[in-house]
Amino acid sequence: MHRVASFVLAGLFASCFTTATALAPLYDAGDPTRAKRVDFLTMLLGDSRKLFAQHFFLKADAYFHSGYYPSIFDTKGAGEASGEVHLVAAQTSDISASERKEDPASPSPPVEKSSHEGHDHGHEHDHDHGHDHSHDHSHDHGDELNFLGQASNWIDGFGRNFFPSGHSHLDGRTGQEEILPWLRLAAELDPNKVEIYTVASFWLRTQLRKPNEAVQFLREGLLLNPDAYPILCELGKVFAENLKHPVRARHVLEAALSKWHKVEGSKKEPDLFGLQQILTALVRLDESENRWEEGVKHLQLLKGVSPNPDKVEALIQDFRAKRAAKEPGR
Amino acid sequence: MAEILRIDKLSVEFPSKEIGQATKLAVRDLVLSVNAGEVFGFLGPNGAGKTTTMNVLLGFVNATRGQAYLFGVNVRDPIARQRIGYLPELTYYYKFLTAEELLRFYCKVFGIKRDVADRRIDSVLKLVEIDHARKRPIKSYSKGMQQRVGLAQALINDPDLLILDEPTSGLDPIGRMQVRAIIQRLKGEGKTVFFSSHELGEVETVCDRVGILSSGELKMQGSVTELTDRYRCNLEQIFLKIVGNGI
Amino acid sequence: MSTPWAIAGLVVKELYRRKDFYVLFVLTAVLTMMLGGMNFFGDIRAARYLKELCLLLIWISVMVIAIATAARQIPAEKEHRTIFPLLAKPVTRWHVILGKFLGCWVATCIALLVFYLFFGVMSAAREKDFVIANYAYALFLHGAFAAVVTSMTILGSVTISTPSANTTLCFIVTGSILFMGRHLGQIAQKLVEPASTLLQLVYFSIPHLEFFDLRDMLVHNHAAISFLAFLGAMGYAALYSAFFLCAAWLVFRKKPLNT
Repeated sequence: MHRVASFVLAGLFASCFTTATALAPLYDAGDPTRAKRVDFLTMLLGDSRKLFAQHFFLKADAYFHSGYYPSIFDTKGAGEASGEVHLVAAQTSDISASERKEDPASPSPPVEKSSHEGHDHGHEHDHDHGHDHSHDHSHDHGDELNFLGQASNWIDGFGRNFFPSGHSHLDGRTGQEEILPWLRLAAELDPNKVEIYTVASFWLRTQLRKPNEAVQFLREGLLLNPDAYPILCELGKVFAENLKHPVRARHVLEAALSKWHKVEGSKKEPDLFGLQQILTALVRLDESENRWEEGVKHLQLLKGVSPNPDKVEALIQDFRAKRAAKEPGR
Repeated sequence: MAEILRIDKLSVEFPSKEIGQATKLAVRDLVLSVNAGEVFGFLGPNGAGKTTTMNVLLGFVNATRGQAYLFGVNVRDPIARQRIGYLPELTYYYKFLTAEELLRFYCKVFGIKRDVADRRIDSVLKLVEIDHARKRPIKSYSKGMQQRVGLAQALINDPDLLILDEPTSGLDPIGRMQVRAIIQRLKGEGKTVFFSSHELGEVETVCDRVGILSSGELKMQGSVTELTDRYRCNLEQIFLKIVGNGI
Repeated sequence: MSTPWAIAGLVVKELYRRKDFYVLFVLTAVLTMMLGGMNFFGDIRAARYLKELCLLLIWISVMVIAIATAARQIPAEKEHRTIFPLLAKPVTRWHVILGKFLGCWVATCIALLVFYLFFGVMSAAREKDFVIANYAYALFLHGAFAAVVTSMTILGSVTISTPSANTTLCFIVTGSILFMGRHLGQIAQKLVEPASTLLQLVYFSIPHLEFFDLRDMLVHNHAAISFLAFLGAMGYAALYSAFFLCAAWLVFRKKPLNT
């Protein structure tokens, strides 16, 4: 009797298991996104993964400063702790910094920080970019990086022996690859955080000489965020500046411009800084290809959103002059 | 004859566990002494205060009033316990150790040198007849074997005084007989034994003197023959009379 | 002094027979190696993230070993009634406290040594820059951290009735001190009275465990810390450990133990 009961139980269990496994694909077929929708990290962490992503993104910045980084309690560095990252500042300011290096004579479109102060902590990574224009921001730099201030008591003072309490950056030649794992992990945890892709790409192409990896990463980001014009803008820059594919760069940057209009055009307060970046990249491309007429067109658009329209106007005149020199009949 | 154990007007009070209730007097003005070479049976019903008295002797509980001495040294001084062996009623030992490791640990506690310890471990393990299982973890022992390990640890320092708290409780008849035999053997070696028990037949067999405790008070003490002669009945009947307030 | 060491030997024996340490070590090694095998943008030079994660796992493991081992020692002695035959020997309660502390601490330090050996091999394999002095300082300071945490947990084990409550509390206290102990002074300054004074009192009373945490210095290959600071931190750990042990003894010595 006991044996019969065991057989019946085993038979029932086998039937349940078989039915369940047979029904699962049918159920998934009804909703093709179901199988892909929940990955392991999402299941494990839920929405908290975004917090981890932000933490890892900040971690990348902390690595850039060799561990010297304010915590949420260090009020003098509250900007950073609230989620704004020096790496972003470095990336967004590359127009006025790293590109000037390539062609010091080149007139840089004036994409002033004043139009987008949130992105700039006055902490340009000038020396890392191999530039000597730290005087531009030296005041902000020193002020912000002294977030620890004077030691308020002996515990505070003594404790500073045991963690990095002096400002330094990763060496310009080596060590910058150390930030990459955190950016990759941050992207895994929050694939919709667009700035992770653009920041990682910036470091990959400018410091680590890995433009192909940058393109691949940006494409991954684009697949998951099809309307992310900053990713397209960054991709355009990789093609233009690193891979020397002006045609592809132009296509991508124009796509970025059209995405910007699609996403931001109808907003009350559109992201003008994003638009400036796209237009600046296009102007630079026009300049490098001697396409002065298109350059003037782009500069005129830029003039409408730039906080320094006079400087842009000067550039427009410069481009016109160059066009005239090239085509004396016009 | 030298006085090994002396209890002088000892009282132990426990604070009440609930607010507003009176304190519980576990032992009241106990006066007792045990001489060298004696086997003293400490008798009494459950809750009479036997274990509390032993706890005071061993330093687990502090007396509220009065004093207790072992070898003339106040029990509050740990050195008083240098020459005693103790077997608790319920024996639980570090189960991750083997019997040999356990005994070696206690040898270290007593500061016994390694070569002496080796000999002592061999002899006590043979005495309690678990020499064959000395390398096995204690957790694999039967209850009777664990009780014998307990006895072995009580003997490891070759004590002059053994305090045994119900040494045969929970043992089968063979186990009890073996423990009794060991006590008698120790008595033959001139050791002093102070033990509590419910087994009056056992007490009658091995004890020189007994004391009967009831409700924290020592109702009577004397040699077994003296008591049986005085009351003209056996120890069990005397015990029942005392506990049932017959005396 | 032989009695505390005999008790300590027992604790060490228990730890290596319980296998907790092996599980934690294997877990740390496997996780580190898995992370080490990850490829980030085709760049295999990145090492610091691996050092950081390995050190984090080591810190968690050591905290688990130190707190879990220390928290169960005296309650387990009472629960299994092994304390009675022990105290029936010429063993004082101070011996028990000190022996248990030494045992837990030595056991944790042995585990620490194995973990740091693994960390050292892993770091040296991935990175050429390796500040040996800081590595040694980090190991010793981590040992000092273990001493403070172990003694604090032992005090908890004689004060708090249930070991699980003590373990949880010790984890919370240790984690909180590591995370925000350094900042309590700053927070106190922003509060109104009497909260400000109370928090200042807490700030100056707690053992500042962050003094023993050299992880960032190790990860980012900073220059070795000053020897005087190292000595200061070791002395600080010794003082706090002694304080916790004395407090534990004061609590334990009067506690009645009924068989």
